[in-house]
Amino acid sequence: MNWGQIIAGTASCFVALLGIAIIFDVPSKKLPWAMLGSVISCVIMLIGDEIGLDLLITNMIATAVPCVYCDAMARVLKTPTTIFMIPTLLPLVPGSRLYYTMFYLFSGQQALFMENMLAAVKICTGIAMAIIVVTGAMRWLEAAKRQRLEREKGQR
Amino acid sequence: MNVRESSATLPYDYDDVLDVVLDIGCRLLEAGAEVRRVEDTVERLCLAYGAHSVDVFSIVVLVGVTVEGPNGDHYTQIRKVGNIGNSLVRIEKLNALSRRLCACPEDPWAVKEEVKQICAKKTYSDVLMLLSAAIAAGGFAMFFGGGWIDGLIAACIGVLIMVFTLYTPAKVNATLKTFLTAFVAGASALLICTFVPSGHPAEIMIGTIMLMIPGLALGTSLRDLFGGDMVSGLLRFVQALFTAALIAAGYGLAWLTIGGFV
Repeated sequence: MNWGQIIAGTASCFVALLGIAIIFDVPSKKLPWAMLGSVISCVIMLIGDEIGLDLLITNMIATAVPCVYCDAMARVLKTPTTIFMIPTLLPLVPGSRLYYTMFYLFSGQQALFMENMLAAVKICTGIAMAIIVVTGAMRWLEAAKRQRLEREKGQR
Repeated sequence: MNVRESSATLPYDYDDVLDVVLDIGCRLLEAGAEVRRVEDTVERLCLAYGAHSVDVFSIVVLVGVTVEGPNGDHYTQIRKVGNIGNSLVRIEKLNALSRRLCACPEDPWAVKEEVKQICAKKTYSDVLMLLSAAIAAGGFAMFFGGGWIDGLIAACIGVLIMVFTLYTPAKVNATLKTFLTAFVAGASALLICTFVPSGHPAEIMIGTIMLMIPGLALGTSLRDLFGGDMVSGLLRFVQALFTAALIAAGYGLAWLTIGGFV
């Protein structure tokens, strides 16, 4: 595995996401926690790429793990999940695939256009599927907890 | 709908209460919060202020609520939201405020003033925003395979994009603004690369595109959709796709016009 490339990628991604977090107005006290989430997703994605995992699977894992982290942090720090979610998921946005989709569309290279577009769709599907699963599981846990609390209240 | 017994009649006029509760809801929507959060906040606040029952409905640009007040009267107010931005710090502060109010309701007028203050304050200065745009664009250009020179050029264009975002008059149509910003960013990347032969326009453009991608809108739309708020989720999703298409069109036009000469 090419660790140098992974470290370089994570470093540049970290710098970029620090900028993005400030643009999106992440509260300064929560900034370190949000950045940690983005590093997690970035490292998972780069390692997945390196060992040649399928795009869909890589992006699902790279979304699901930090999503769980975000939900946990939101509960610990009592803040909305969105604050951690946005900087965390941004490294996964398929910026270069989208660019090349546009580029090949305008330069009329059909095969490459289709290839890049399908890859972008695949990545987005992976991200969306992971969000569905994690958010669904969290809602379920929340509902179960509420039910338990109500039952305990009733017994008293 | 939720029903709860109110402990005592509150000393406030319920119209004022509803006014400030909707203020909080609207500000949340403006800051880019999910519809589920807005509805939940409004409902909890109304109940905390002693309402017997609450019916709240919200889509991307509207919050409407009818409550049965502590004295049995019904009150309804609807509020429309102007432009939707993204300010995570406001979501956090308003969330903290509403948690505090739910624990212990306060005078609506004082709260109204506080909400105004929260929304008037800028978290980060303009200079810091310009700087962060620079490092974001530069960092992404290098993350997607560019070299040092690409990063530096992307950083300069990032500042340019941020200048557009911060200083365009509010009256300018958002669609036009997005398209123009994308065109200018793409065109300057191509033009600079004619003078700097070691620069790669593709990597530079990818770095700057990442600044403009409607990330918060897309993320919120997914959370809305999977939370069961189909209308809001779809509206925001279409909005985000439309913005993305505009960005692609802007860069595409730059490439078609200027790229031909380079």
